[in-house]
Amino acid sequence: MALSYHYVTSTGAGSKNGGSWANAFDFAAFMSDFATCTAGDIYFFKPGTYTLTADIASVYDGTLSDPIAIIGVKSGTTAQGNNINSDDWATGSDRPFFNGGASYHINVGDDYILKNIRSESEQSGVITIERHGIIDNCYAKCDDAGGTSRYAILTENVGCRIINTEVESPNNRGVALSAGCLIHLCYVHNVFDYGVLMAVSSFATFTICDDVGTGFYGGAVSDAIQVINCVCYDCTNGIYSVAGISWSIIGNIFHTCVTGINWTAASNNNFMWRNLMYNNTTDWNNVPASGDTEDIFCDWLVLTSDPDFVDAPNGDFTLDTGSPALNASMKMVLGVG
Amino acid sequence: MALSYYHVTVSGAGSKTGADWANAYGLAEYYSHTIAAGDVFYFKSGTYTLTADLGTTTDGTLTDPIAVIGVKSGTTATGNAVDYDDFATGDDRPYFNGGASYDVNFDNYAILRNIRAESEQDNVIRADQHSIIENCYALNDYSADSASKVAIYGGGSGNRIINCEVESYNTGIDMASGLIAFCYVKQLGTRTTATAVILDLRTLVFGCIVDGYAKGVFTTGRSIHILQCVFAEILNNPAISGSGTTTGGWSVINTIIYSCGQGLYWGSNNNNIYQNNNTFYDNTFDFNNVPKEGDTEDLFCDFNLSSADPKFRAASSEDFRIFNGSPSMDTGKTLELGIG
Repeated sequence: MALSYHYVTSTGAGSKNGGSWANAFDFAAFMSDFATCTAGDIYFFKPGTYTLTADIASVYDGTLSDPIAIIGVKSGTTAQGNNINSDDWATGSDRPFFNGGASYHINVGDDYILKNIRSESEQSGVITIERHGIIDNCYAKCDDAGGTSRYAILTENVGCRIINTEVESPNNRGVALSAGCLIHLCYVHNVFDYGVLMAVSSFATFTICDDVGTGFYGGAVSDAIQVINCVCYDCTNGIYSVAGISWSIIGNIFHTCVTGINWTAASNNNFMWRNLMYNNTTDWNNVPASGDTEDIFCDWLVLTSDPDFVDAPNGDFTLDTGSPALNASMKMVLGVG
Repeated sequence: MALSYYHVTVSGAGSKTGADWANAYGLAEYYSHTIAAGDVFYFKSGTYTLTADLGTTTDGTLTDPIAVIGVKSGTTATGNAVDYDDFATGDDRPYFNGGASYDVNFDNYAILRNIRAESEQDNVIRADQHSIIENCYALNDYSADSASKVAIYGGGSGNRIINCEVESYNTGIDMASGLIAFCYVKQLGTRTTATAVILDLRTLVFGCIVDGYAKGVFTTGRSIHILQCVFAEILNNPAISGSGTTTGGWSVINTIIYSCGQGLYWGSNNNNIYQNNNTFYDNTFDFNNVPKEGDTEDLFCDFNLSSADPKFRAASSEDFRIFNGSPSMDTGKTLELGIG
């Protein structure tokens, strides 16, 4: 392994060669260096607004052992190189902000790791990664005013992980997952169309879709998708699939949606268990519900009580202490399995 | 949709047409039945000694799966009046004894629920793509060394193995891609190279316990995500391991690796595994070729790693529940407003 560390601030410092905080790149110097970055290059960014005049992009990929990384660190960070650790990581509005405007975005290749950054753009794929990428503790907003098909986060190849990330896209779409990708512990809200586009064999866990057109969307080929312990609140559709095959929908909450789980054609092939349906206009469409003729394949343990979020209208989906959804998802039971 | 319901008891009843419990199929009548998409077989409690594979090469469909569902011994409901309250659990589940020669063997779009099976065959319970195996117990009691002897096999994509108990002298679960959730996988005997879970690629392993195996989860593939699992006493080989240059896109989150020989073990350097909020306790070696804090490249390690005893209720007697006071209680990574 051969990681090389570089340092970036909004105005740069010293000789601006990126070799230390005392000689940090400014953004223009970073852009020049990044265009030819190689596997193992790590860029630490201090807080500030970085206005893009071109895509943040490189023709080079990282590798499994030597990823290429962009990592936001706190404004007061003095540590360098491998002395930087999670105590230095930026959070909230202290994360560096990349403003792509109408024309530019972050668009990187295979084996990139993007942590602790914010980005906004009118481009599709405000943050775009390729194979094996990681986006962690980031914020992405697509603020294109027209159309519906632009994404805030776009994964263009397999094995990406979107974790602990906030996504907005008021006129477009939230996250597009490729095969084998995981979205975990994310907050997707204020999204006009799809919150999360699920590809074949993609996974969603502990993710909240709030005020979204369709929380989790599966297109014409949307097989083998697992959605576990997520929340769909105030969505037109919590989950919508174009006749998708082999989904598992376990331990989720569908609250104040027009339709909770909506399939375009009848399916008895989904595994649904311990979901909570509350205050939806319609809970199920084209998937079996108790009382249907083919209800042998329904969710027999569906919950229907108010999950008692602390303050859902203001984005706090914490379950209150008396919530019937606490510890109510599927779990291993001795002597049953 | 056109489901057809059949009712099966060990010795059958009445005219043995399978139409209801009063005229239930016996196993012989079940074997004579030509299975078609949409056939749903309810099996009552009892021991069914197989004289051929219990299964079919006929596929179900998206709307009309082929289902084998164990129901309680006292079930009187029939057809679509059967519901969850009738589902068999524990020892009340029908028991299929395949002996040396037979197994439970279905193809695509099968749903197998609430059954137990034992066999020396390669795959005690097998289903191909888009199938569900839920609330089942599978024992592969072939005691000689053979990695091809598997308790549950999920072929093709989109299989879901959920809430199952698996025991085997050799391989526990062999899965192409899909979901393994809330399963308990335990090794029998002392074979030092048996593997609990072999994966191809694109699989979520969620809420599972792997106990006392020689080797835990192994793959040469990419896009494997292991969340909220326990690996206990994996003594001879790694609890979680990958080999080859195609093992990118992994996540290991909120998982406990306990009293193992080797924890998270890669054959070559890998800084691409997303690790967070895991517990490594009482292992001989925690990591190999993946970064840990203090390494030169620890930027990609698990900075929320815990090394505290998770305090299972009674790991030695297979009770891996944690209780109030456990340092692992409510300490998994959570979504925090203003952070993400």
